Amino acid sequence: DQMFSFTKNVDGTQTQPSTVILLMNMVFNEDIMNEEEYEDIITDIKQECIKFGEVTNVFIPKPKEEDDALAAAKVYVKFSNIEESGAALKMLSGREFGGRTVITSYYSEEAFFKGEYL
Amino acid sequence: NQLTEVKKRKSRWGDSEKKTIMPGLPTTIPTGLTSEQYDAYVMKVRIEEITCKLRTGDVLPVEIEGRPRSISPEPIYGPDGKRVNMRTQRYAKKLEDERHKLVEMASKKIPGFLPPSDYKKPTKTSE
Repeated sequence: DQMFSFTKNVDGTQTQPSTVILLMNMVFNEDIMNEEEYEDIITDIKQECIKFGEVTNVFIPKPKEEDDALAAAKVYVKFSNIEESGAALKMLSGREFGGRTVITSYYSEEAFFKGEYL
Repeated sequence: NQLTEVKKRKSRWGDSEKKTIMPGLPTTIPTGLTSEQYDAYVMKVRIEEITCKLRTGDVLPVEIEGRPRSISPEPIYGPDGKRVNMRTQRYAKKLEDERHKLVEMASKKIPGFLPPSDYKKPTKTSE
């Protein structure tokens, strides 16, 4: 698949639908150092995601002190079913958020339920 | 002003009809990559995005309603009497600095990484 040629050296890179999606390149660590900003960003994300279905969770792991301020934070959004998460994955991909282009991917439900974040 | 209606706060989201397409950099990527692989990909996307903004001059940040702009610094003039710290210049510089840091990071972390063709390594890090 031409689209995913950049991951050809990686095992198991099939797109595996999940009710959890990962949104990237929209929030960087420096944006969420401040608690108010953190909450505000989550509100913005949630407001858009509920257009695609029932959002049960929006979560952004807080950066650790040693993390680079310029490193990207990852946003996890949990929907109630795969149709909703699939629509969100498709529709939010390439959208602009705070001047950045949103990159989407599915994230393993199992890992999410175990509290394992990237 | 009482005539001004209180508008709903615009969010950080851009127009729902507008999508960015970057050649060679799909915006939906596979499941199950490692954290490092996702980070490397996001670095590439962000570098490409900044390069595009600098090329087109689209450098000003998104303004969110109800959120004040940052206070502009006192003007600084160059030897030719032209102002050198206009809003656009300041934001272009900010993006260049961000891109520089990302290129440094990507060069260390991504094997075979090539910086954008119009990227120049800053010769000094003065203000």
